[in-house]
Amino acid sequence: MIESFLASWSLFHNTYITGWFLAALLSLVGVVVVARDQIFLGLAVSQASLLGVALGMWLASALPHEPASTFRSELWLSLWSISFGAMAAFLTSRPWGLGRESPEAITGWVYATAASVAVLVLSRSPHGLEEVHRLLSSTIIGASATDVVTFGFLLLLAVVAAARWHEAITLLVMDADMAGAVGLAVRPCNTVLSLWAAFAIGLSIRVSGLLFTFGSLILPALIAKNVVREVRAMFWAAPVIALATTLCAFVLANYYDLPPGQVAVALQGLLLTCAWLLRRRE
Amino acid sequence: MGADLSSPPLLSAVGVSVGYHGDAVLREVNLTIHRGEFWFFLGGNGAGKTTLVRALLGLLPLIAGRIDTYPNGPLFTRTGFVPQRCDLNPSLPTTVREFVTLGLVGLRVSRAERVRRLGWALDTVGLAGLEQRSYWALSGGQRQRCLIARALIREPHLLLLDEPTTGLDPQAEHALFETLRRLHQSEGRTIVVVTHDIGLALRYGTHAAFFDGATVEAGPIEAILTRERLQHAFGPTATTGYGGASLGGHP
Repeated sequence: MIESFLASWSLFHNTYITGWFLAALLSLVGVVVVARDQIFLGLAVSQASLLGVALGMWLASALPHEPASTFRSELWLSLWSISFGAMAAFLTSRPWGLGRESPEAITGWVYATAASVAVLVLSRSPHGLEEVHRLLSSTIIGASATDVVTFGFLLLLAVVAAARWHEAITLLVMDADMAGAVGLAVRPCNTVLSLWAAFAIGLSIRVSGLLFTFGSLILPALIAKNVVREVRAMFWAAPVIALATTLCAFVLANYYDLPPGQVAVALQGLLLTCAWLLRRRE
Repeated sequence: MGADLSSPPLLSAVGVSVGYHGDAVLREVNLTIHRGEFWFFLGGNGAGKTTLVRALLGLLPLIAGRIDTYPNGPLFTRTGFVPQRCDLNPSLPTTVREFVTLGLVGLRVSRAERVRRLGWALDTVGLAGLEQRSYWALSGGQRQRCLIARALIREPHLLLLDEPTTGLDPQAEHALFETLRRLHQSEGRTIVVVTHDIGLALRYGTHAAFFDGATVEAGPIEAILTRERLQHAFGPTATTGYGGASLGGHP
């Protein structure tokens, strides 16, 4: 099994490395999402990012004289994805927002609307729907060397930020009033965290699709939450779990010829079940 | 205002109006808190006690007036705050050690000093030896003391407690206030407690701020907690049942 995996390295190394970097990056973002119990919000932001990709593609195809290189570029689609993720994060973080609804109601609206509109805008585009289905079903095969560098850099940033500010972030997500009382600028800090999450999710959606993004966002952090005794430990446990499970998943997927993203998420789901059972026994 | 002018001031509110979305809850608040005083913020529900605490902490922008701190500079480095509620996600894993040391956020403290402060704070509130215990395995009273330890670990000059007795039984309440009394008397900490309980103020307080309508009367406790004021605010039975504690004003 290992030999087969090593043999595939020359062909798929960009996919593997990008997958590991992405999983570790998203799991760090996921610690904040899980600590705040905003799991559905993570799904809504992911879905809104996917709508951004769909709209970017639709706009490119709708232009009469297509400046193809610009409007079909990865950067163009990533910008749309990040922008819509950021908009969703902004909308869902305002409890008194649209019609004074609760954040949960706004989150539900964002998810349902984004999911339906993403399909509708590309329903008459021959390749568009195919792309949406690809993003929904998640495949990280096809990641490029640029993706490796991009997500490697973002992971490095996230690790440095977590090492430097994990206590402040923990206090912010556990007790915002106390965080304000010790001098943290709560609203700007929350905005930065939301934008960072939207940025990571938006970039990830374009490369790995909805399932792998959402799975890597919440599952490693949820597993970590159930196996460690302190929130601060989640900041190292979640990325370690994400890396270990995606490493195993990619080896298994290669050997049994299965889609790697789905294997990774299924493995993490199984581990979470084990963590719950273990915790229940305690 | 009647504050003790022999000790240096910690903070002053001068002509402060504060509220939400531009609507003032409190108007023209003037009070000065000096070192070593034990203050009680008293008043009914919605009278603005918590609003003033939030304003003093800089969590709420002022509509008018100013808050001076002595020495000049951010108050948060010298303040410990115990919020009314701590809406912690109950599924989050955390230990007493982690919960309490989060009070050090924003301060530069060495590892050895962190350990010393943690030990001191837990010892002070009677939770010594429980560092590794899960926060969720503590009783309601112990969690409340954990909140106080989290404020104390900053070694604050000023300790602000917002309704600290909520959910505590009488024994836990007594233990909590004896701890505060010790902090006040033997360590000279300045303490501000927000509460409805006039009896507590009479037993432990040196100063009081009485919230009535949108105004605040502040000063030494005997000048503020007069029979006339309490009966005006709470009705004719308001001044009975305080045992040996004495009220100011006429009998």
